[in-house]
Amino acid sequence: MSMDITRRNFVKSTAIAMATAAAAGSVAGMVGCAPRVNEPINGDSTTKTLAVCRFCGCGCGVIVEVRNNKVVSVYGDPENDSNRGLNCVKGYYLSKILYAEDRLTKPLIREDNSLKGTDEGFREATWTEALDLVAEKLRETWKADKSRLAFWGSGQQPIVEGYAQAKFWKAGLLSNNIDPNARLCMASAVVGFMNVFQTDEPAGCYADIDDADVFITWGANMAEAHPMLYSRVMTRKISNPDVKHYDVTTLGTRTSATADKVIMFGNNGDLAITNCIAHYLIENETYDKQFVADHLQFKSGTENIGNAYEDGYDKSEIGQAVDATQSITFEEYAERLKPYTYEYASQISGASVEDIQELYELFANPNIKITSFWTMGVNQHNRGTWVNHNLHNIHLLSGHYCKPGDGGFSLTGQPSACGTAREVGTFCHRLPADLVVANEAHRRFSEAVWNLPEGYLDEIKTPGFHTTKIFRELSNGNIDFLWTAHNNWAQSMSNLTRFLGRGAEDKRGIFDAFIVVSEVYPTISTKYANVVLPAAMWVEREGQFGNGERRTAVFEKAVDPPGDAMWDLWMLMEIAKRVLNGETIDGEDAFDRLFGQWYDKDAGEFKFGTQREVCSSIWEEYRTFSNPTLNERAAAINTEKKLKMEGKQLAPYEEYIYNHGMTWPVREVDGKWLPTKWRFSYGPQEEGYDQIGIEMYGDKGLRKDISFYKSADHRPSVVFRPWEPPAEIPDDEYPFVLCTGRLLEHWHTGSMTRRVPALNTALPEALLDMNAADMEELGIKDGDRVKVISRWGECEITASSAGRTKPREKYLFAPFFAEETLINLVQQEMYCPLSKEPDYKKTCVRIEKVGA
Amino acid sequence: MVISSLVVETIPEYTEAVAAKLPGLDGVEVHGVEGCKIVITIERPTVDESHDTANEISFWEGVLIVNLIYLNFEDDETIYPDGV
Repeated sequence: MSMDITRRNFVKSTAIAMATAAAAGSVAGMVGCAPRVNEPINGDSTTKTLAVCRFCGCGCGVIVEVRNNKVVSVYGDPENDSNRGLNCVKGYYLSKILYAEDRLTKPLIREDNSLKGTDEGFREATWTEALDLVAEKLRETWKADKSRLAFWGSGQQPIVEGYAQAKFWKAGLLSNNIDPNARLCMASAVVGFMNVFQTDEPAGCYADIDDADVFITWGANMAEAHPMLYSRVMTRKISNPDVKHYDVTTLGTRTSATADKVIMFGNNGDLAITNCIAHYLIENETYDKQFVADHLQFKSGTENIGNAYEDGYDKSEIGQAVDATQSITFEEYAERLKPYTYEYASQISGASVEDIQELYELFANPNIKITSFWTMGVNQHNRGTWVNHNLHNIHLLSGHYCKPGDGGFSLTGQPSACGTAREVGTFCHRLPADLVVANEAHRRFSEAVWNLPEGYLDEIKTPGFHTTKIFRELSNGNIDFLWTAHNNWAQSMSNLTRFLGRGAEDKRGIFDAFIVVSEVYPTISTKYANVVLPAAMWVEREGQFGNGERRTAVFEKAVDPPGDAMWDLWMLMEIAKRVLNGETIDGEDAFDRLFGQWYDKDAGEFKFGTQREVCSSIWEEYRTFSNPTLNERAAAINTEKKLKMEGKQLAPYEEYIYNHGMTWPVREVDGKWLPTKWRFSYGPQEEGYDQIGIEMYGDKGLRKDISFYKSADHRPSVVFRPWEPPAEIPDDEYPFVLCTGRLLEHWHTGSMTRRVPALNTALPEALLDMNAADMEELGIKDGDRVKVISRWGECEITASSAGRTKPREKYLFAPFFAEETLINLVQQEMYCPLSKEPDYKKTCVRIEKVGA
Repeated sequence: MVISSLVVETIPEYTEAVAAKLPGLDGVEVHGVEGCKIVITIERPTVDESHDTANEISFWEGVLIVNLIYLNFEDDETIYPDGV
């Protein structure tokens, strides 16, 4: 039945009022439009719930309206400070993605491994049968050889779900073979932050956009990958015509199209350009001398680190040495930079001397505010960690850091790449809250929070398999049990020719391993599954995401999941209780010791009546990591070992709902919880500065009122990182450089967005974007089918010179959203030796016309 | 009808021309201009058609970005064939 005229008028006038307020940028004018509690509007049965967008790392707040257990409207949440009421056009599909026809609603089991790679061989099963089978296989592998099991998680798992999963794997199974898909996008940023600052966090926030005089995008197609933030950049530029945007890129994109200046480079030239800027800052004495004296220390690290071609690279002599650094003097650092003249940087990168000089002059100018944004072009790089270092280096040397509008910001890709993957301990070397398994004090602290006997976690002091290692060992036949959740590894991994068992005969372990996939829709990964677990999606359960500016936000349960689809947290509890059956910790039942406070294993249900209470209870335990005074034993270790765990303090659960999300550290001042937006920068906490943190741990009176109190000796490390070449250099046989990436319409390998007809119409096919001159030379016309061939594999694709990106000659771009194209069949599997993040941006290939 | 409201951000020199052109699209109404931002509603039978319209606008000359603000789709029969 259609809306009646009264409701229709109401809906339309609400729509107009909200858009008018958003256009005016008047958040104040919109307060009251968003609810703090569920309340009926317009006298009907519509309820409003708080949510966060399901798609990208921007983490936009939305409000969801429900009638009769169905989502009927969504709108940008004006009280969420990340997006202030705005959404990009993907918002049209936030709810529609819940309702595509092929939602997984029943557990599926497949016994015949020979049918892997197809949709055949599955039968519907009951939950009991599916859970029994998964638990039996996991327990069998666990008891036989713990090194042969693995879990691959996701930056799309809500925070408490990721936290509980990590606790089960690390404390329950005593296994470090757990890693998230965030390894594929954010790992280089993480290692960069840890090496430079000893803490994984950006100094600034999204509001920096509103104050910047200059934007520099480095290897980032923000216009497509972070549309809401790019909209904010546009608004800033329009408000002040003097604001300029430089796009430093290897490829023409929609972002380049609106930039004031585009600087094209190649050949890992980003390393040379950044070192060149640093060189002239010192040579011309235009660096910030007091900033350097007050805040920085200098180091060099292991160089000539080669490439991680071999499965055994990490354990090789050089692989073991890649993290090592030594202190050097400022003068020694300056000496190392000397070769990086404009001419040398230009010769390596292909960018002009004048353009590099123009970039240098920005950093040399203390009177402007520079906001750098970077993402996958920097992180998915065979020297990804090093480029992260060098970007921090030029911002630090020039003193362009930590102040509103003035700093470097690493953009993230998934809705909870930060809040979950990076922060709750789902990496193979980590524990919750930035703690690492290899550090004894960190293990003691985690044991305290988890109520484990002292020394219990010593069994996991050695990191487990990182992502590429998991899939390498799977292909080698060394993994017997693999469980993946809310990712699509069979499409997003590099070198799929190997990992899908389509290459060498001795690399087909995928067909023998027992594979469990938790998902909401069929994907290419479910084609390789033995068991598919149908999950509740987005607002079908309560959850929490942590976005790029470290804003934690809650999404409430708005509707029920379809069919037999269930909450991931319930599946985890049910599998954990079966696997841990009969096990004890310190004489107590192991499951009860770890999860008994939340889950009644005999009743098979949570001990609380609502998901709100379940999440809140798990959150309170997780929050203890950053509020150690909540646990006496943890507090003593925090003090004795100077862990500074309050550095990323989280607030009580309900605060995130009342405040529509908050950026950490969140501080309690006079009974009120206040977020921090400019970390390490002293000023009133009420205005978003890091007052409490600096008063607790830092120093006052230093240059720009900054105190890097989380860094060793309160001094971030400027580490000299030289230029080293890409893993592959174009030659006569493979003359093209192939980059893969995302485009606006399709997210998360298209597993949700491709089910939406209009998004599919807008971008129906993964095209190989080519330069017209290259096409002419090879006799290829727009729409011709071509083969892309690398040393690793090949795939067929349609070529175009009119695609979304505009590559230069000898450069190519293809998006990876299309299952039928599967461009990652040709991608190399090399990763940055420090971060273990694969390089998806420069595999060398040749192009052959199909049928020529 | 699926009702959505949007803010269309334009290059300043194009604001007037874009605002004048928008009502020519099926189901589009202009409700105001704030600087170079244009407030519009789109009323189309389905979410897909609404998205098509928004997407088309985003490719117009002079349009920088299209922000979705509010969307109601309780009348979309492709999602709810039996109503809500």
